[in-house]
Amino acid sequence: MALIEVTKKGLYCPQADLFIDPWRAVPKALITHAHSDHARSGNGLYLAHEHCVPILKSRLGRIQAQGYGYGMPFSCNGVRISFHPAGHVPGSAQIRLEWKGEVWVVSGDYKLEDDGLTTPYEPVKCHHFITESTFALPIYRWRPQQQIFDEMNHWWAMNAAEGRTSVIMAYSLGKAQRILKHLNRQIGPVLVHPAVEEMNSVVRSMLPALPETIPWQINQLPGDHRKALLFVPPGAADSWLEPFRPYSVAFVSGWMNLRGAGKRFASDRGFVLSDHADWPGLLEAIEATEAERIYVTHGYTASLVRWLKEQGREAFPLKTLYDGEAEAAAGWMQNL
Amino acid sequence: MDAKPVTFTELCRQLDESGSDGRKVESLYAFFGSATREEALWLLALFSGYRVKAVFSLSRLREYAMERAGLAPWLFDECQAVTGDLSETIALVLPKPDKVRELILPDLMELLQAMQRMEENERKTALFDAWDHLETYGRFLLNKLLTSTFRMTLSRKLICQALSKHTGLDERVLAYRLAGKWSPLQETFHSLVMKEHPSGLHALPFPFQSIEPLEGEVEKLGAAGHWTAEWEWEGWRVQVVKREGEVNVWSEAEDLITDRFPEISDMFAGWPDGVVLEGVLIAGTGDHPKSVQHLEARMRKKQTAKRKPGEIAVLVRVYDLLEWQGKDLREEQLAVRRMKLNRLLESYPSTTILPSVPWTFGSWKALRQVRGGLTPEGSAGILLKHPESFYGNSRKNEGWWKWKPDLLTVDAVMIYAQDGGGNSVFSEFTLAVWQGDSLVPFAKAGAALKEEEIRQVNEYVKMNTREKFGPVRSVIPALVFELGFEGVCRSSRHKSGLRVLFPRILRWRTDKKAEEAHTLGELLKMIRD
Repeated sequence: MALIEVTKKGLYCPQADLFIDPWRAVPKALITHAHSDHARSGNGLYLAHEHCVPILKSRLGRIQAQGYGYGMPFSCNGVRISFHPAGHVPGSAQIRLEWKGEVWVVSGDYKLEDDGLTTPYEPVKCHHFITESTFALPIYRWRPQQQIFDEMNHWWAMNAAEGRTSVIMAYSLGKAQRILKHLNRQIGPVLVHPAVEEMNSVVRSMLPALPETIPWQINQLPGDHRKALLFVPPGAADSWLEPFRPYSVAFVSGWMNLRGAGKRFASDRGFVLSDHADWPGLLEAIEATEAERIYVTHGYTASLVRWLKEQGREAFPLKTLYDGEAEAAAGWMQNL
Repeated sequence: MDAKPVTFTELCRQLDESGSDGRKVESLYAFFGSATREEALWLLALFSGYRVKAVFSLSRLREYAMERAGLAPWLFDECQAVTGDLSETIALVLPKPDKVRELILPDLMELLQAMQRMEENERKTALFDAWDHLETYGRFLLNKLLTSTFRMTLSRKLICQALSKHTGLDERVLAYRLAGKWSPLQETFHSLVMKEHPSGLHALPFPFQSIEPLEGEVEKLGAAGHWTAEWEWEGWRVQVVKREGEVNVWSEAEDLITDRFPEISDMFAGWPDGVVLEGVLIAGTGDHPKSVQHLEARMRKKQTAKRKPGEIAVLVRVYDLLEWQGKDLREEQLAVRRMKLNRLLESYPSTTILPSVPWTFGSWKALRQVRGGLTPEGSAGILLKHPESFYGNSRKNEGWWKWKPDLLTVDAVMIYAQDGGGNSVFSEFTLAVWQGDSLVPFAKAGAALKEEEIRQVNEYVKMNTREKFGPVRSVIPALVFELGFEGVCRSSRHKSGLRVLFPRILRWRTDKKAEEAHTLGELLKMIRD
């Protein structure tokens, strides 16, 4: 019997009787991070990193949850379980499970670059590694984030100089806070949509490094809103933006790496920034685990499996219902 | 805040990202501001359709890219399936550049020419060296140029707007200077754009006299005997300028269209210099005029020396003479201009230069009868002109008036709704009429509805959507609208077999059910052959 198997309800560890990021309601769930495709509602008990718990509560309402620090193991029917930094979003973790000397790591979503806010990714050695593959093609290679932030600040300053409000569409958990941390606040005020501000206040309570932001109410325009940068989640109604005309919209996502992506998202400007590992990042992470077997989930699964096999690795596709960054995109597309 | 200089790469990226014409002109203007004259010249050439011979075939470039990136063919193909473009795929998969160089157009063009002459090995080395020193977007542009697949372009109108802002020269003079055949290898920016001989001034048209739509009753124009009537032809209003042995044709939007309709130059080849005529450019022949769509199709195509078989013929219906023997006639009365025009047309008889004959009428009532009777094919209404009026700067009530025919109307059912782009208000509707038990779409139109009606219609669309296709939704057919239009013509391109001219929704027929809408048969009867 394998330590982890795929069931109808999700990844399951029979020995510990625990599910990991289940997509149907279960009694006990280990959660890698709080994005809605990994942390669904209805589970009896949520076990997650301690920074993930307040975010889960803010998203899912009243839940039973237990938080753990990184690298603090606990046991469940003989299985040694611990959370390790995944660097994806605040509170995100890789989950390590060990039973009779055999080690499995479920990575959830992860990125290797230190984003300056989230606890940076740490490789965990294991025998079996379950990896995501959202951007598992060689066309996806990120530039250092500082370059992107420099361009973003320049774009904002140019808009401010020309009297246009800058609007950034970014996922409210993770991407928004990562960007907020690196904006040049001298340019103008930063306003955020209530949905984003709610997440900001939860994250700020754990990570005080996150700068203050002004929650923005509809029909309330600050005097210098032409110089302002406005954060809205993908799919925010146009009526929110109407009072800010003229404005310029930027979509921030790994998908912006492709030409013409901006037009598909009806934005004037695309910034390539992702909380997922790029192609070299995935390969580096897989290498660092020294795993004997690699299981590939959500993304360009077949490509990564084939590539790994050609390198002489034992690799298998694993069918799951996670959808990586697709969700953010789909939400916005629906609103077009 | 200083703007970063806009390089060739940055310019192309901005044009690629931005949707609005205004932003495009801004980007191009910024490029001209920071580019050398040589760069500007090459950019004008590339954007006007100058083609560089391919240095590599697509398959050879793909082969080299896979080698440089160390990718197996299957993985490269998977990447290309995602991007959909070879040049882009290559740009993304190559190893990161060492030291990034800027893509400078004249240098790049020199490199491309040098690469043409190289041995294959040397050519490959030069390619890898270029790839190693460019950012992703620069590589993308390079790959496009290397394979002769660079297709980035802007309309001449927008190019001239930006260039005019940069040089301070008249947009129309610039349009003239950039038109026709020229090679960046034989010109300099100065000789092409800034040259004073020929200045291009001789090519310019006069500002077009405005034509106002007639609102209200025609009697307000005063005594009927003071006016003349002319048919308004379906086509493009143009001025044909013949000076210094050259024919130039300008549209009402002051677009120089000579190179799209080279036969017009031939038509006026035998005419003397110092002539400016005004008329309507019409597709088809005098007996069989065709719709404006054919002119639009010709505009989209690249210039051709000869008319291709199957390409539609054009003619000009001339109605005014603005210059004769080099003398500006605009201060002469219309009656005098017409007399001179008639003499000219008699001296140069032609089947493709036809007069538009004005007529006088005894009373407004008589003219009403003409307007309501059998109108000639290809006419779209009546123009009223005062024979004593000057061109351009008319006194009150002596302008040119457009008297549209009364609108035809049908009741039709809404089957698709489309939002107005950028907002979620549905403002464009596709209407259908009955053919047996099925609804046949025949027109797409905007609606001038009251605010409350707009709200209700939007609500209906949202609650009764069947399917979404991008911004378009198909809805359960139930709402009936009265559609007004200026005419109906046959069309093989439309499912309904017809096309309505200038359709607009007049009102929402809340008193009618879908079953009570008109039929296709009734609409077909409105076609006048």
